[in-house]
Amino acid sequence: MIERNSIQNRIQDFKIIDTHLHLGYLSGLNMPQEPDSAIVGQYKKYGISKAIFSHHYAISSVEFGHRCTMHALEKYKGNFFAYLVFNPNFEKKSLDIIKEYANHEAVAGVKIHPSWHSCYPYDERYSKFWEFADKEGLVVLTHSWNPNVPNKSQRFSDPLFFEKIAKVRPGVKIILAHAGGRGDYLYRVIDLIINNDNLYVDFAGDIFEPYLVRDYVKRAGSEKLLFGTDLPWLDIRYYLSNILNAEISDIDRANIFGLNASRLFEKIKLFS
Amino acid sequence: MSDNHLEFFDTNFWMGEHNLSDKYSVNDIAALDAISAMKAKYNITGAFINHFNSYFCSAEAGNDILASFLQKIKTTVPSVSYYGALFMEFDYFKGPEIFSEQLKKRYQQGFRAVRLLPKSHKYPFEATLAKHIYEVLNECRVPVIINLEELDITGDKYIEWMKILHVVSSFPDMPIIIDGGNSKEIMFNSYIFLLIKNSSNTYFNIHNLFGLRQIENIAEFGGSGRLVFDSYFPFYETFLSVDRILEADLSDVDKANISSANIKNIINNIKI
Repeated sequence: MIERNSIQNRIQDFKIIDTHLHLGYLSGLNMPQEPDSAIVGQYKKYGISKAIFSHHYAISSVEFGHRCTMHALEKYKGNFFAYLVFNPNFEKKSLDIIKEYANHEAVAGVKIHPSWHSCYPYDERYSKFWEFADKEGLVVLTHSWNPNVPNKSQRFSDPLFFEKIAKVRPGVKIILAHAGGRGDYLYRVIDLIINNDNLYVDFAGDIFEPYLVRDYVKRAGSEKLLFGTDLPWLDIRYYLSNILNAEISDIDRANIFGLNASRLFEKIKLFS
Repeated sequence: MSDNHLEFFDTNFWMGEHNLSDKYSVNDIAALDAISAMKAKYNITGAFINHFNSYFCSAEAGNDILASFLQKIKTTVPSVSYYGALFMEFDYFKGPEIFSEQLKKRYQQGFRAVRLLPKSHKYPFEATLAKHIYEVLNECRVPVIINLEELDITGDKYIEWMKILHVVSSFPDMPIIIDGGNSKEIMFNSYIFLLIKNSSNTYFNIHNLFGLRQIENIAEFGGSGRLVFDSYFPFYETFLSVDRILEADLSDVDKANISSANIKNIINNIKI
């Protein structure tokens, strides 16, 4: 017989903030259960009360998506916070919304998705956004992925692009989602966060490379690593297990699970 | 039955020298250590072993090497039941008599499943061209494992679902286990539900059924009898799949089915 300790027991000493999830359906993602309620159900089961989302519809549509974002903030007030979404294909309209709502009490930052929007982050269409984000000191969560994969749209989200942006725009704090995604990029991103004060990573997505979390902590420390799930694309249990079982100290675990996020997103006061 | 008693059978364990990565290479000593550790830590008492030499060098050479290793396990870790996954050798395509004879020989050596690699090893998998192969396997009720990426002949996420449905419906006594491999496709789409609905002998391994409550959704739709546990060692860390099943919102019976009972039934049903 094996003595097994449930995830619920193992996480009870940690404050957990999910800094990367999505609300709403998505046409290309099979979700038999209504995703928002399933997400809330998982958070409840594991005692997670704070999370920062970007709405699927806001990635796919500027106006409708923004309305859905604001509606969700109202519905889940105090628990869910939002990334607005900048869509460079609707540069002015999208930036106007961000300018109007950036100081909203429940807006944590801005999400960009260069692959989704088929636009390189150094494209001219991003320039006014970066200027504003720099001036306001925004937190920007960007999709990042190894460009050398069969999915050609990932070429827009090469994490290496963000080093120059981070240097030119030191006021912006950029989270490289998925830690570069695949292969050697997972490790090249470690150098990026070591060499650039305003670059961070999350481990959201299907990037369960063996010993990756341990290797990040060993080389870069745990202070720039964030807990993100990419719900509902992926089930939260994989992420809880991944951090709980990583060969790191409990201090590092606490940083990753929530303390780093509470410091990075100080504006929205995740923990009072 | 509590989780402490839950026993696992890993349908997707890889070992040998990985041609592209030392990180994924598992020599005999490391494999024996892993087998002992998995028994002690997770109560994994059996597995189908796939050998990288069968994949990268030649099916025949790899099958021979694995046959020897299976003997080594019997003397070194006698408390477990590890079997080989047989890769298709050139001779097997010559005719049913040769294949049948060779299959019996490999069965005696400890092989209990056949892994198909139609894309990587360049042979047909559809029901007509590979008919004599399937007829033998169907008669012997030997399970077949096929990686989803091996059904994606174009390399552009064009998975030939209809061809696999044709195979499973033409050879109903031959269990087919769809292995998610590294593919994301299995997370997103509804083909899984249609394959389950339209066949009785299709199974899915679980290591990358990453979607939110995806395992529960499939079990609710088609019953827990269509899912089989796997770790995808050494590409993923074993705790991810183990924790996912232990934490699943399923009954003890369903968990036991997925963790080992389903695959044990399949193995016990082999007629050689």
